[in-house]
Amino acid sequence: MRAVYAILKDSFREAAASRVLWLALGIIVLVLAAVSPLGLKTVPSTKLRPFELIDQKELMTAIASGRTRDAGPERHLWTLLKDEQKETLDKWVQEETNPADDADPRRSRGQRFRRQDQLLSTVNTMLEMPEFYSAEAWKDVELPEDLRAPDPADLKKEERSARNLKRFKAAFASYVNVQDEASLALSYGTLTMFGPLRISQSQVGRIVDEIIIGVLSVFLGFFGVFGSLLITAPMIPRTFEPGEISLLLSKPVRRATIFVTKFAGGCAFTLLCATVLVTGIWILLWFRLDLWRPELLYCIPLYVFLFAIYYSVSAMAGAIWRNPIVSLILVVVFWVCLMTAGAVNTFMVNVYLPSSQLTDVAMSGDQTFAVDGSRTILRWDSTLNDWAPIMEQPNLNAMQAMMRATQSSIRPRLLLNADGTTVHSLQPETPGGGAAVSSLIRGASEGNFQREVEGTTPEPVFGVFQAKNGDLIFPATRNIYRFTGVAAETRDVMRSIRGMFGNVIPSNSSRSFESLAKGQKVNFRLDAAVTFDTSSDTIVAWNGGNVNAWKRNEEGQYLPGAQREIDRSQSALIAANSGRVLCALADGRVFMLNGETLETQFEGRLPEGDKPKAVELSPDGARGAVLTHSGKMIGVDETAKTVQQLKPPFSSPVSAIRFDSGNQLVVASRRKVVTLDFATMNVVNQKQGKQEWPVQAYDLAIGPIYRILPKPGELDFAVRYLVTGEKTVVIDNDESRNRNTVTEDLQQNRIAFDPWSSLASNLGFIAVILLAGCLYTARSDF
Amino acid sequence: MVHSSEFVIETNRLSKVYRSGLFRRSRFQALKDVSVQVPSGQIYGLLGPNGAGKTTLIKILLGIVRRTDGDASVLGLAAGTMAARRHVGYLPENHRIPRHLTANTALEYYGSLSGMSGTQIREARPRLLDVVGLKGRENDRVSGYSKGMLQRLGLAQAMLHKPKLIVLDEPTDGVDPVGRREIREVLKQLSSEGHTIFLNSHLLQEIELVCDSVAILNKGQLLKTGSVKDLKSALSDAPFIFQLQGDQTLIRQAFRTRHDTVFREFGTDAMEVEVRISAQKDVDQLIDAIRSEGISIWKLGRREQSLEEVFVNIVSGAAK
Repeated sequence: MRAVYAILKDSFREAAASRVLWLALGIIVLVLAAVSPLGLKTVPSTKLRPFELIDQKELMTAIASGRTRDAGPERHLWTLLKDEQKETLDKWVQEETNPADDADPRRSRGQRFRRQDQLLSTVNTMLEMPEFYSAEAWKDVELPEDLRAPDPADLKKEERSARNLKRFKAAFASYVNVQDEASLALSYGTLTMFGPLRISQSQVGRIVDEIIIGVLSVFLGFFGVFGSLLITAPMIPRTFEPGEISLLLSKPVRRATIFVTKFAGGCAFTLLCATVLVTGIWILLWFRLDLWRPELLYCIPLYVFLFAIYYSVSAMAGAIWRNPIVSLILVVVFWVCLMTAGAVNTFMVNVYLPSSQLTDVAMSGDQTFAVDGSRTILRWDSTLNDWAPIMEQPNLNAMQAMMRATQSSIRPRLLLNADGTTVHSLQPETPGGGAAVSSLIRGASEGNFQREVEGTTPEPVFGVFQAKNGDLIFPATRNIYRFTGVAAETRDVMRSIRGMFGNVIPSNSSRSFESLAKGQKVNFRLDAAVTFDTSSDTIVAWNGGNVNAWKRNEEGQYLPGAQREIDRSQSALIAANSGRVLCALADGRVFMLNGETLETQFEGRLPEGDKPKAVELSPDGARGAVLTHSGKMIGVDETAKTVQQLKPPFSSPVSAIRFDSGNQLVVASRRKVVTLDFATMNVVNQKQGKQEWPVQAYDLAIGPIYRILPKPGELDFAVRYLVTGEKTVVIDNDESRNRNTVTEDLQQNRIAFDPWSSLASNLGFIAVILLAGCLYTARSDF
Repeated sequence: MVHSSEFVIETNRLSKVYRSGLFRRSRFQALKDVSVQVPSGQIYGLLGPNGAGKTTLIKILLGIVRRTDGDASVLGLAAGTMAARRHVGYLPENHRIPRHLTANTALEYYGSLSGMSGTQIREARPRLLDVVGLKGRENDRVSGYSKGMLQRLGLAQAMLHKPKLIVLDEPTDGVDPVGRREIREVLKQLSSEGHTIFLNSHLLQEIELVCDSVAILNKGQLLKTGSVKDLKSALSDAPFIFQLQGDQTLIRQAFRTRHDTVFREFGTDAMEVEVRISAQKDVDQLIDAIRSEGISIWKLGRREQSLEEVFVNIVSGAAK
């Protein structure tokens, strides 16, 4: 042990003698010192933020109504607007109230965001005006006494805006929901740099987590590791130079001890840098942002481990060739090889496999239909014993189809009629998860399942459901629609026109959609999850942490029913059937609710760190299933009041779940669909589609090789898990959608990861390389 | 007890073949059937021209290079084992002590590698640095040391753990004459304390001055071993020296049949004559001739050779 201690101590001495070490430590300390005054401080809310806007259209309408009013805040604000602002507002209200028949709904979403920005900017500018408040105009608005009093003349701009925001909120309470009396501002010491920020307190942790992961990944994972390699690369070659190694080998020390201990000593450099940086960040988070993240300290050994993977290659090359340049070149070659292997694997796992695997499956009569990741609708062809594409989208090349698997959007759920002769589905026309403007597409057996575009929804919808009377119901963000159908002759004309123009003309007609919520104020957020109880035609939604039920009356209209708040900070997925509602929250909680009262009947949890991807309830409502982003399946038994993991009789991850009409669980995995007995998990029926050759190549070669190879890149997953506690990561990010939501989007494409699985292969690789190095040094003459 | 044999180093038909190249492997025989025995307590010199295999022999004894054939033991233990190395101190040729160390930290490093405790190192260090002449420079970085100072520090680390055998490869390389003398004194002192010193140096004068015995290697083969004194005197072709009294002309007349003769005047009626004679009968005939001319013989004997001459004679003889 004395020898080991002596070599380690010498390595520390060598590191400490290096100017580069002190330079690196100096830079780290300087950067930490420079950012240490950065913090978030609470300031009074002075601006209206996007996620506080409940109803953009109604707010615009309310302000525009000031033109015709004699008094009130609407009239007062209208007078404060400039002429061009008035004209613009009028135009918007006109367009929103009476959309043109030929309006392209795909453009309307972007337009909405642009208008939202302009509206917020106009309101926020008015909030700063001294003349914003008029006691006369606000005389009928309920205000606290201090706000009713006129503002003192010497009031600061921020204080005035804050007071005016409260008055605005009081006057337009139906359209805005100012969440916090206080907002966050970015401060540097005592100086307020930016603010109020357009984020809420609940978003701070998530945003800071992403920044930390980015900083650690770039500073330590890349610059730290490769900088340390540059500095430590000469250590082992120098040790194995004839003059030094002869001296060492003459001592009573094993050669393997010298090699391994020198290697461990070389890691001292990274250990020092990582310790200073991570500890510094940890202390800053603790003291400046009040975020207590002790798990961050685990990142220190993790990054030293990452360095050790590359350094093991450098060390072995150094012992063999005794040349630091050769060591570095080999490390770079090794890195390029791993990058290439990682890129191929990532493409297969994130793009190719998701595009070919089934994401929805539906059975009716003797027909089985499915949708794959590229949103191609498939029908089981028993003569081919394989899936055959139907209702194919024209002018879509293979690459475009494949890339659709990476894009977030509502998942096109198949809707079949009773005998499976007609299929309906939605084709999202706007990107992003959650609700989307979509085309209703149809295929029927009499038309050989040719694609028919029936119409395009007038606004973003959450899905298409079939009521007991056969109506197609579309819950949308501001309304609930019924598809009134297309006359046979109209369909023939449309088909002919599209045939003449090469099927490139989409149907933008939204005239076939009739409102079922007349006189009601439907307000589903874009990140809401909406489902349909087919037993009672009830729409149930998870809307910003509340569960809302909408009941259909005898006239076929929808009226708001029970409502219950569960958790405003969480997003969730939801399913309803036979008077029961199953909710799976982003934080892993699972609730079974009574469909009438929305009271909790029982609850359970998903596996730690996992998030729900799909939720299903059997037609009798007695059984439920939750599919997680890691491909696990959780069974919910209403009778036994249990929530537990289900073990399907195959090893590949589950990609879709459904219940058939007989309450049996139908599970899809890759191109296979298996009907399982829920209680025993025994296979009742199975349809195995053919795998394409790239999938076979992945299963037989690429996957196994990648599993054996070290995966330093995947250590970022472990860091992510340590920082966020999550085992899935979003692989696409729709900024335009995120801006209006405070909760995360469960429909965004995520990849599941096991934070510790790469550790085993990485550890194995280091062990093999060190063993080879030891064998080489033990058998060599020096 | 580690060592019971009278020989500290013993090799028996030791051979080493170096192989290089990945596919068309070339062979180089560095040692061939070398058998050496180094008695305890001696300063034993290893002589040989460049490439003779001296360093290879030392490295095999220390386990730095693996032998191809034959046996070698150090202090009665198999050469190169950890147990054997525990009792050996080694100063390699062109050694490199990490530049970030000072004399103190270097001795701490190498002492720890030799199994010494921190206390033992701290106790031994000052005296040792004084002995090798580095007192006052113990806290200076090695990177600022001259070649001679590095040699002294190398010698100190070899002596630090009081090994029974000290192996020195060119210990005076780069050391000034005064330093060399000091090192010689240190080696003699160590020898007198019972340490065995195995010395490899190309400076034959150094060897001659300090060694008790030597072994001469050439092209991997052992040519000669023995005490320095025996080697210098045992050779038969040393020239004869005659100191004669008589007429110088007559003296020259007596040596007229010899061609390889050197005459040196030695007073008015005396001369010193150096002549190479190999056969005894030729000596007898020459004495008869001198006496017949009436010349007196004051002194007659063979001239003693330097080790260098012996070495050159042996190596060049082997080459022929």
